[in-house]
Amino acid sequence: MPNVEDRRVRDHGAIERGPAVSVMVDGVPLPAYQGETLAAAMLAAGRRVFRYAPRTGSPRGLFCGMGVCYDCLMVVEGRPNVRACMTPVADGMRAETQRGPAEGAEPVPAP
Amino acid sequence: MSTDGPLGARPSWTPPGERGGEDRRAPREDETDVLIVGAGLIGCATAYYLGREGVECLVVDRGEVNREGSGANAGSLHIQIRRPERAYSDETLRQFIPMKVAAGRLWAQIEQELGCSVGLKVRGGLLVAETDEELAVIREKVAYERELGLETEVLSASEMRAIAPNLSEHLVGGSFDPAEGLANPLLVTPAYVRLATAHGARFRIHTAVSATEALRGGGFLVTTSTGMIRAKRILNAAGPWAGTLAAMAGAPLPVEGRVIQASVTERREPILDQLIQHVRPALSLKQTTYGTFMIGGGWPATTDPQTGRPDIDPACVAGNLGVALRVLPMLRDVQVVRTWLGVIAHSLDRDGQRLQIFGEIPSVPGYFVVAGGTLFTMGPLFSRLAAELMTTGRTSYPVDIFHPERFGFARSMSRRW
Amino acid sequence: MIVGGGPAGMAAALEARRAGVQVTLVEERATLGGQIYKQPPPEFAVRQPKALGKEYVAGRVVVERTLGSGAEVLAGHAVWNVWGRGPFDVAVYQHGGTARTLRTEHLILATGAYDRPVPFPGWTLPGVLTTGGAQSMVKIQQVYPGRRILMAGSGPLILAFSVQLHKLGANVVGVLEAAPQPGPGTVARLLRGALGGNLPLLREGIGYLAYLRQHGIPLHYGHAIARAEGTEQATGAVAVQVDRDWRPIAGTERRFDVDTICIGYGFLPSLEIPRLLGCALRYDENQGGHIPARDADFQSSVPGLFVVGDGAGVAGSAVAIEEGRIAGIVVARSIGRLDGATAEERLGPRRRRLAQLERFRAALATAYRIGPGIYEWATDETVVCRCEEVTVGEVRRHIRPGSRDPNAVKSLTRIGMGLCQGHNCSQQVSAIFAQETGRPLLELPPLSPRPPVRPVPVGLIADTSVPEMPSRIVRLPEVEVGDPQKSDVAPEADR
Repeated sequence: MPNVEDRRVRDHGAIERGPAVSVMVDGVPLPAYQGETLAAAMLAAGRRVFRYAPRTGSPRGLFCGMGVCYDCLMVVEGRPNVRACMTPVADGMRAETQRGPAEGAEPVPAP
Repeated sequence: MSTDGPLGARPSWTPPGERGGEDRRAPREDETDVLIVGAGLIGCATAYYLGREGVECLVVDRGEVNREGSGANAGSLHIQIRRPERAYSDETLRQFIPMKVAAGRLWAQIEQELGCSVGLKVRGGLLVAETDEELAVIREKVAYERELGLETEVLSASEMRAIAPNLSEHLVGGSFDPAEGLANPLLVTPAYVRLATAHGARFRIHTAVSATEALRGGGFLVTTSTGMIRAKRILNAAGPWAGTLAAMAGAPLPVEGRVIQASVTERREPILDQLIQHVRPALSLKQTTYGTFMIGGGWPATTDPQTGRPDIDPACVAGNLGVALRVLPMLRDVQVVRTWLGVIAHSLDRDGQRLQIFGEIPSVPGYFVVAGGTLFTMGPLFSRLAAELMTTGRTSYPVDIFHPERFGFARSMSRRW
Repeated sequence: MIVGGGPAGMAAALEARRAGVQVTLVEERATLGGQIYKQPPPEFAVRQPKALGKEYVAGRVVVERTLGSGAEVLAGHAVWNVWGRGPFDVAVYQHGGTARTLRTEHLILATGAYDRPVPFPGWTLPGVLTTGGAQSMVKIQQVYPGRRILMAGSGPLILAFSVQLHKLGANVVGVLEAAPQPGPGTVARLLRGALGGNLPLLREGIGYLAYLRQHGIPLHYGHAIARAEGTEQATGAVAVQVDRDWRPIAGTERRFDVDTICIGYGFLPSLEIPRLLGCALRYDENQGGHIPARDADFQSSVPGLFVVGDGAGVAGSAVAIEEGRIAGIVVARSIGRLDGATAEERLGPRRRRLAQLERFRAALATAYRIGPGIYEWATDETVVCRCEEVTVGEVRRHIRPGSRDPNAVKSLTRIGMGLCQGHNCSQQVSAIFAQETGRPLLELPPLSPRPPVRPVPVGLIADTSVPEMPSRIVRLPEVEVGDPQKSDVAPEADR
């Protein structure tokens, strides 16, 4: 695919990836390989922002990589709060950067 | 294995059931006009309403603020009758219904009154039916509710879905009460604490009352775990423990605490504005201002056979969620994040009517009590009325049906309420 | 039943199977291996196993043996609740699949640990990740998380990870080690601890240091991460010198031009299930804080419930394996599948090996203890609850004077109420609470345990066939008059 950065490990030959597939992120096709997680496909394309947090809108990405921090959340096939690091890619999978309802978000009450 | 680390080497957190450490300060005496026992919604709100009238209050709680029923309920604002099978006489309802209406009006303006957001949504409540029999019960209920002043109306399935489009297509109809809604219990009581403090109320947590002596000539001498307190008057706002507490003053009231459970989900885009209940299986379902869904309705907890303590009942979690799912199918993919236990107070008057207890105990002048169920919804109203009663001797609504005399004293003196 | 398919869980499974015990092994990931024996996805073909490191190679062997052992392996199944006490009912669900409840008399928990979340300014920026996250990405997914990586942590693992990542082609530009350079006393202690079977571990450590030197990757002792800079993502890192307690020393900041910061300050055990079942706990900061109290067979205070491996207290995979083996043998003996003599025969060498490992671990713990200053790297503006976006300052302001329970702060600020269920913030919130109230950290209860221990979709646990709620009434336990205790609805009445 033209013009998409590729941060994959290429020169070590330790593994051979599964078949090439394509995932749609925010309507843009990203190359991926079967067996990769959505998070890996995102990072491989240099896309490190997965969502904007609901209250403050702060950008979030991959943190723990093992499914416990719930920060790498994206909207996958219309479903929000999906951990990208635990989601294997499928050809044609649709994912979106998750944006919470930041306006009108409840502030932490003053003491 | 070594336990040494830079922060200490002693065994730590004691398992549930064991006593935690207490403050062992030398007993000292304190004085106040009104001693309020219980730092839940009633205690803190009354402290504010009294403080506004210049009355000095000291609020004590054997635990921390807003940690029991007031802080653990699901935040439903119940106005319409949701359990038509419960027995209430017409007379009772004629006094009760206007109070519910008044409570609803108070809630509608609560954020202005408290000066902050408390997660309030007053967009109405729907009591739904899945079968024609259930809808018939609802019709009957709406008929007499309206006679008594509630503005409920029966809606068809399509009318319901016009208001709440995500409700299941299997529902056949329901009753709508525009005054119902939801608020966040975790924010309401703290807001009252701020206001009460601003009006001079004092708060002492981890202070348990163990004895209450009525003094000749008036007033009380109260023994607590942090010292003695002299009070001219007492407000018993101890929720499910109000009975045990009142017994210390010689007036055990029949208040029982029941442990129930609820669950909450992840945040989702806002799709539901109303409080949803079901006319037959217990259900309360709402989407908070955070976007999370709260599912409850009074499903009971269970008891851990080994410790004897209440515990989450997984079958009730499943059943409660099952009803919610039947009513709001989009919940299928929504993740449950937490379940928790709460406690509700239960009190029946001498005719078996489930009502709150409100008033001054005739045999113990100066001892006031506000206790019983549904005191989140009715909390702000009863707290105002308590302040009125304690400052003027009168209330702006007739409250005879709640008078302590109507509740007699506990028939069985067993401590296991 | 064994929950957790990492080194401890697999070791327990193999010993139990060896004795002919029927075993069900539940693992939430699609593949066995846990963290240290992480396996690449089945769709990837491994051409050069050695390039993936010796843990992968060793892990592959154990995984294969486990899969061929006759144990029922339920991969891709997450446990969301456990109740009952002998037998235990274990509720599991499969993503996109079904849910069910399994019953067992003996339950071995081997749920492992997760990277300690360390709040510091900028830590939520994309580009800041844990060593576990970096390792998953580079070693397993074969993707670099960024172009220029600064490693910040403490202990032999941060060295090991730095070397491993670099060998796989990641551009590691520097390593921050919070502990001071080991002096002669520390070296002597490490050498003593290494004797008697632990020399390979020490040799490894020395090898890592040599590798870093060889490749010109600077190792800064006595330095910690001060902040991550950037708006959309990390574009720089600032490090600071720290004292022996890991407290930042003013005026010693230095900037690194990196887009990725990898933090490795140890691990915290995944304790949700032991706490859910009411296991007695004890406190050990170096093993991750509150950990279950266990007897010599690694049985917890709940009979029939064993907790082994990093999930019982972080001590590394070598220890995890031995603990798992011991628990497996002990369960086999209590079922009657092994007689006392055979069990002792099998247990003896395991216990001896553990004692050996303990010596080295103890030496390491003194050299690389967690400095209490780690809790002070966050400022009042730093987010502590990542899920609900609550800052340290907001938490501080809500601690009521006289309060004894961090759970009260939870109800006021929403910390711990998000999807991560307190994993990211619990430790730091307790530290803030300890600081504000003067109560020692070890006396503070962690955030209350309740099911589900993993978020689970309503559809998988709802039962739509229940016609009405049960009519039973659960009354409050008897009140002790005058007892200034925590809630009857114990141990909390939270949401």
